[in-house]
Amino acid sequence: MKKFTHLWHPKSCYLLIFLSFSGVVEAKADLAHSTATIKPVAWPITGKVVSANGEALPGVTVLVKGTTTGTATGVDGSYSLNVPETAGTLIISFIGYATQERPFSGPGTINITLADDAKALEEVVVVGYGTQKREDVTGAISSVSAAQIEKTPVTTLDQALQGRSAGVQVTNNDASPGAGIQVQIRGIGGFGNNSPLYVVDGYPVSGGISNLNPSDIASMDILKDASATAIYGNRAANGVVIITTKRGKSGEMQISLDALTSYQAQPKMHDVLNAEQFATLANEQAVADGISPLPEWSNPSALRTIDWQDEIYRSGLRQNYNVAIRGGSDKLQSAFSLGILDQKGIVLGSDYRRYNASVNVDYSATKWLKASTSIKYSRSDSKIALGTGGQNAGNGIASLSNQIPTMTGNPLTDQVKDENGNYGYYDKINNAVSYQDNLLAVIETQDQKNQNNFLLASGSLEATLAEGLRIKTNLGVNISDYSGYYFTPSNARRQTELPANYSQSASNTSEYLWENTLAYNRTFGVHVIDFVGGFSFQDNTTRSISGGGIGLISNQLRNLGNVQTITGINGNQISSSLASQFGRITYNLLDKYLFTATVRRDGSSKFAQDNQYGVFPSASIAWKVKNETFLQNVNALTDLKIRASYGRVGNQFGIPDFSFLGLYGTGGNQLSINNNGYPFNKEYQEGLVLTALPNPNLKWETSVQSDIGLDAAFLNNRLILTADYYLKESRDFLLSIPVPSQTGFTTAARNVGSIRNSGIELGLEFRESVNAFKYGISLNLTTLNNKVLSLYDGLNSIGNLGGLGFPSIGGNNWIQFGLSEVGGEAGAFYGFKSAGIFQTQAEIDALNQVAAEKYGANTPYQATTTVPGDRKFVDQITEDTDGDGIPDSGDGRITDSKDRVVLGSPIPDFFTGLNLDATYSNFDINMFFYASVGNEIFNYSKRLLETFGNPGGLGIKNVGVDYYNNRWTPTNPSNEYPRATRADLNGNNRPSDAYIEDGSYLRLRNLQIGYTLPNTLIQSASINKIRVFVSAQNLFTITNYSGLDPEIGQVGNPDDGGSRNVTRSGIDVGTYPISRFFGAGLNVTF
Amino acid sequence: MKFNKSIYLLTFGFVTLMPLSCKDYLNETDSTRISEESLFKNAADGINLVNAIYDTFHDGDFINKSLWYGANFLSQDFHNYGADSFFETYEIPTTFNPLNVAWTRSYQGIARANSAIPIIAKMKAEGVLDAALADRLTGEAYFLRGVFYYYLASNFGGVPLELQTVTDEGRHPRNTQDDVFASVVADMQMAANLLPWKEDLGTANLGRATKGAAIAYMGSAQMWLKKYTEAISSFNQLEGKYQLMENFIDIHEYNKQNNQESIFEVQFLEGADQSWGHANETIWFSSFHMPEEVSNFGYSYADPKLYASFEAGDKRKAATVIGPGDEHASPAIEIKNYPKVKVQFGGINTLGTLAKPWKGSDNLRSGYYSVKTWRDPNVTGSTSAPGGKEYIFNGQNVIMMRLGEVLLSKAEALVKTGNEAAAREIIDNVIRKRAGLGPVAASTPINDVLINEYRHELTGEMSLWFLLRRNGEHINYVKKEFGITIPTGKDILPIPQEVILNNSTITQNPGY
Repeated sequence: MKKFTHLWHPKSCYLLIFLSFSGVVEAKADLAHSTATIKPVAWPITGKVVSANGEALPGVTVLVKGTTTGTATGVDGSYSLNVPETAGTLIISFIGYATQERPFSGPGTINITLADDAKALEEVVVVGYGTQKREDVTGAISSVSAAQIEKTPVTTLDQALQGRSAGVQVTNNDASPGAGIQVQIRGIGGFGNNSPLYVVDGYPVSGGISNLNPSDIASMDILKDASATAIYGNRAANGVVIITTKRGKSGEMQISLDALTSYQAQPKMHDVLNAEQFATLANEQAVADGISPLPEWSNPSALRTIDWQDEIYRSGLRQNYNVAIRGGSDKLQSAFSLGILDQKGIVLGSDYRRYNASVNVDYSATKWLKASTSIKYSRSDSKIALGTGGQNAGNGIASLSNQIPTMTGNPLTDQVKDENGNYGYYDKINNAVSYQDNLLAVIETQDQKNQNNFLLASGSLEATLAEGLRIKTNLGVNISDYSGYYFTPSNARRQTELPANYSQSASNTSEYLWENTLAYNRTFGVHVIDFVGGFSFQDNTTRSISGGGIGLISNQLRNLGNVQTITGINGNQISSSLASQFGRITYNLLDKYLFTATVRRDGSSKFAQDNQYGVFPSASIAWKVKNETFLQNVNALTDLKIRASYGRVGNQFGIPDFSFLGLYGTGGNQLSINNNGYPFNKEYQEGLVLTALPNPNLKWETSVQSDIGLDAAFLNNRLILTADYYLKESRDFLLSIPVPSQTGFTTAARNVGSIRNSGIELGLEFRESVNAFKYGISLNLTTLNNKVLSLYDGLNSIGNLGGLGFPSIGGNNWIQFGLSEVGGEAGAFYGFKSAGIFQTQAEIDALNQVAAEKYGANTPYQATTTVPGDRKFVDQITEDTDGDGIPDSGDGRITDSKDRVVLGSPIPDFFTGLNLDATYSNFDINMFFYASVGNEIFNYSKRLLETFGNPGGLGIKNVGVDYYNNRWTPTNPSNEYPRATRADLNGNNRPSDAYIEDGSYLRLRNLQIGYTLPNTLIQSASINKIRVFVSAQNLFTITNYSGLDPEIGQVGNPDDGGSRNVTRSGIDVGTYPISRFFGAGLNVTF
Repeated sequence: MKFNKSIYLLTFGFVTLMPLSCKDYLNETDSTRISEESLFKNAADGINLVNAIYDTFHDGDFINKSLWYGANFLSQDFHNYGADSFFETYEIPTTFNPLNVAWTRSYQGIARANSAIPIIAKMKAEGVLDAALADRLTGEAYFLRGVFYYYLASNFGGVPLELQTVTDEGRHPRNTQDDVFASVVADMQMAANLLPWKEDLGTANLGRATKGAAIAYMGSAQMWLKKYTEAISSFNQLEGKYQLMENFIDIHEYNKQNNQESIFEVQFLEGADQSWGHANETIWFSSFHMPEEVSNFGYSYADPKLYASFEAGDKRKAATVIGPGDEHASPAIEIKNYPKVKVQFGGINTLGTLAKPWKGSDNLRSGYYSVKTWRDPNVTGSTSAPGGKEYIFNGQNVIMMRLGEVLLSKAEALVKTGNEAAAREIIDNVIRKRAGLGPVAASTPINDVLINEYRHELTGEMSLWFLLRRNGEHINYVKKEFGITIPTGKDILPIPQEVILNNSTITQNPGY
């Protein structure tokens, strides 16, 4: 019996695939017969379109169904149109109004009254494996429309989510073109991956959505609670964003052309010392700090100042062009689009270009059979020669304010680059400057290429077997590949010439999805039942290969074969798969009481055999109170619904494949830094080690979510309110917990702890029109309470997971800067509290004496080297001197173990988006504000502006003007800024509250003013609509933050390829800054 | 009708498939690493498992900052240039990263040894490994585990003893320093029983643990336990197995690695790239300590008091510390040949001059440098001849234990057991004789003699501070020689902060 099942099972899989495709072949045969022919136009039809209350509606589309013939109404709402001499149907559509169809059978006048905006109720929401009417939704779902996405120009689609929906927090990691973005729905559920699952036209994509063209998007529906997301099982815990792309509609044919060009202004810059100030400071500190200043610095006023920020920042340019053709007949609808986006970033050497192409085809072959195809392709090229970072000795944005503002090493020129193309450089020998390089030369001489191809294609076949009973099979692939190289030529600007360096890498991900669903929908009197269920397989393989080396005989070569010394070669592949069954049933009683139950059983190859499968159920109810008789006559209230949901969903993102196994590895090869072998008699031999502590009990993270919500509409839907209270408890989240290193390992992957996120989400929308003046205000607001409930038995806190490459100079220990403790917030900042500046030696001596009496001679309060002008830190109350069990005193000295405290958190108290829309006659205006309130920023850049010693430990660097002017000196007894010192033995610049700042801000994200040309001007050119507009982004930002920009996401770790996590959020390491865009654009529809 | 048929087929297909889970879809295998089932089927796997225990020494900071610093900065003969100067005041922060490297890396090696021992036993039982090879490999594992515990206890005092693979959460408290050294003795005894003598090891395996090495560490650990009689009998077993190098300078000579005096030596290997892209087999050691005027680094320098402390005629002086105006004592090293010296110092062949000592461009060093670490003639630091390559990392081995140390330890053990005459015999007729010195005055207190010889024989190597602390007179010694009062309890290193953070049962050393 067992054997039979085993044989039958793969065969049956193949059978179904075959059947699915045989349907497609038949569909194609039918296609040939359905081409319609259109006769020449002859008769005129005129009329006027008004709203329910009689206002003329300008800009309404009037189209002959099944043709491309159409027009738009003028300012007075009137239209005139030539129609074919046969009878037909007019389609009258306008955004915000219900589309109408009116038959005609000859010339004449057809006046139309468009129904008042009932759209909010009619609106359809896309949910997992189906759609629902907004009014029947029982879960927490919010939607972002194409109109909203189109108003704010963005580079990548995920940016378009910012501020658009309650509960969705979007933070740019930095502002470099095409850079990554953090999208978090309802807070941080764990220390690993907190990104939502994106489902694009029914395909759950593994990567993000940055490859999609924002102008292709019809809607984004954000599923927030378990009731809505549970159908995506073990990928649902962070929420699900369902993206629907624009499809052709029958009867409409539209060609649209959009163009936008934006100029990006140079960003705000740090005010740093010029050459004269710097040389003066260096000379002053020479003896005390043991610097040997350059002889040239002895005459500071003669030095040429190099303003590094000015050299490297430039004004940027973003251009975006899209063309789309969408339309169709009754049987066949298609949508085709092409787009190009080109962005030149504001930092020299940063560029991004993306090409998008998309085809969607829907074909209703017969009454019962429908085939749909969606294909999206994109190719992007990106380059960032100098990005976020540089906080260590590496190059990055932070280097711009660190660089010494004068270069005297090259006898040919003291300029950054002279007219003959000679690059200036620093003195090659003197340690004071030797670690610095000419950043312009670094950027201009390097060469890199990063190319991505992305293909998402799926085809589905849906058959209606009986009334209300449909089956569907959906087959899709998602293929993406990256290839690139990085080259730096030999560099003689240093004492030792650095050889040329070349590395090349490629990776590709190939994935397929196969899903079969059965849906049933029937009404039996007052009972409406809707069911969908099915199963799904998804299989993903990622392969990567890379190599690099040093020394090339020519700087023109980009060939690994020509590299003189190979320093590393890597190549591997990894596969993972999911197999799932799912079902959802909704029951509607009397159109008053709604019930939804959902379950998914998910199996994942990431877990050991016994732990592969998990079941994720949810249930929700809703009561349409408005439909009760007692509210029927309350006219002010258009709609009222109360919702509640509860469910359990999982998260398997961020759990590495095979981490449940104890596997052995040999590490890298003989040439690598991470091999496990050893030489005997000078001959290398391989070594074999257990790579991680095995954890066969590894399982998905579980998120238990509940939600209570209310949807209400007033004043005939002009005022709409949505409110939700959410409670989300993430349990068993995967954490590479630090284990005692006496185990032989420093970390182990375990399912531990729980984190609770709770808060209130509010959405408020108001629309009004007064004659030709229409306006709308929409506001959404989310409060966020994040609390770590537990971590692990015996573990009350964990520090930042991984570092940020912070140099620890002198007494400054920057290895730990974060602490997530039970009862606190995930990713909180950690360090010392400062207590001003020591003004006198007597003050220091007194404290040292107390410490010495307690701990023995030579034990100081802070450090034996502390002198006046050094920063004083607070001795935290940790000792119980009166024996009552409550600490009442400090321990008399500053130690890492007892005097560090939580200093702040990058999680805001609330964030909010405010959108204002208005149109008057042919003019329209859109303003979009975003605010984040109550979050703190760990301003590491400020530390750098106050640090005179260079990050590598030798030499010196530039500092800020504010610090220079106001630093402590015997004659300027500052209580804020410590003295200038290269070595900083006292640790003035250790992690402390001196660098914690309020990161709240309010930003005008977008302002757009448009003008639609009057019909009279364009009708002759058979153009439907021309709208021109000007727009500005980030026009102003209100914030108390002293750094360049308060929007700071998760920071990449320079030591491990830029990995990010929540314990490294909100830290300004020298972030690629945001700046203003000013643009003008054009929308044309034919 | 044709369509209806299709419908029925489709429906049938669905209904049949719905309840199936297609379980084999989840059957994925890892192709980047190897599972235990497929391993250990041939002898090479067992050898590789043990090789990886040695690999523990190959860590950027382990030999240098975790061991060399501890052996030489705490004894004040050498000082750190730049940031880590807290050794001079013994205010080592608990967060000083090399402490954690010492701890983490040692336990990594211990865990590798703990996991290897039962696997090798299984391979032996299954006949995959022949008995002789299995015994040798097991002996190596015990030896290396003992070595890691030896240095852990020397640095930190008592540490938790993990003698088998940790299967619980590993939150075990510290054992006492004596427990740890007792465990070292046991491991070394086990290893000594299983391992071959160096002469029986075979050239291809040069660098592996030997019976002699196990006995040497066993004796040293017995001395920590004050079991001096046992220590003497341990050391006596080494009689005739190792010989002193005739010339002291040759002990660390580049072309005399793994020599007759060397008992345990960590092996390194030159690779294709000796610059920042170097392989794990090289170490940033030589150029790290060489003068800035030569290597661009010079992160340590010698105390002039060390230079002055040698008796006239002590041949060990020039082989230990070089001062202004001195030529390098090794025949392999010509200062004038270094690229930076050629360009910036007119190709002089001395370490600067008395008038212009090499104190670094910022004048912050003493002008005196370690010679024992400056022996690989290939190393040039981050300098190079025009068009040449940087040679920052070196491939020269590091001697951890040699006969000179064993003889002095034995002398101390003899003193402690009341046989001062035999001790003086070793010191005068073996150690000092090779150094070119006459007998020490009988009036000098014997422990002062011992400490003096430990210092001049072994400073700049991997053991001095540990031997001084073992002797017990280390605090007085530092006060006497350098005028520094060691704060109470700070003669041993603090337990790294991260260790306590992750295991609250570990208590900090009382001085911190």
